[in-house]
Amino acid sequence: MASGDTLAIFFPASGEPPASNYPTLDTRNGVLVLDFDDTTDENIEFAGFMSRAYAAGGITVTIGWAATTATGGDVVWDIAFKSISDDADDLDSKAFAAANSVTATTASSSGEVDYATITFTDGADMDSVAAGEYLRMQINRDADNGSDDLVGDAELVFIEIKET
Amino acid sequence: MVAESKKIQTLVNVIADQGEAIRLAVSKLIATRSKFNTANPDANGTVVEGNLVPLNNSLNRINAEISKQVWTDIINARSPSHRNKALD
Repeated sequence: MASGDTLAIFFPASGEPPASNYPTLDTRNGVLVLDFDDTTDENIEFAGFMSRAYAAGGITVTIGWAATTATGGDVVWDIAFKSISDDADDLDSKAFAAANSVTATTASSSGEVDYATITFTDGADMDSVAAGEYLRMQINRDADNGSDDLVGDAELVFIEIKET
Repeated sequence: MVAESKKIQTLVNVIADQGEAIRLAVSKLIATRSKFNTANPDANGTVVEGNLVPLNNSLNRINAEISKQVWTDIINARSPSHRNKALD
């Protein structure tokens, strides 16, 4: 896979919520979105499979999101990965690697989608997810971070993973 | 630590919610007063005897206060998706 090529795409309908503090499904002009609260940290996981074409060059995650109503302010997004390797990782105990974050500024109009990117170097930074492996990705809005000053919900529209 | 802007928004939202509730209550009282005046029942010997004037004056003062532009401005600044928890 060449640099810049898409490896995986995720949409709100495929999110797997935790038992509590999860974003809620909503629609916006018929588009399915996940609403993340602005004062309580909320997170959700996505199941995926690293493309066999991944060339171990590291990945860039693009978060497509929009503010419910705000036209100014920043959101702090965290992304973390968990790899489940063949006959090596226990689903019952494997933890996520440390998250990488981005402070994203909302688009000037609340209906516009901002594309915020986070890079991960190949290896431990992305829990050593390798080509052909099952992975889990967690996205969290760090709502109680002092840098997250966007009032109201932040709506997740899509997540893309590409070869950096 | 939750951003300052969200703490302010919580205050705005609560003032807006309660301000609208007060406006609605005042509107209902004014409508009921109008019906009462039209019906003009005999209040002698009831709990409202002698109290209608002070009640009427209080209602007028409350209505004057809650109708002020400052309340309208705050109500218009409400953020529907903000959960009002930033001051907890």
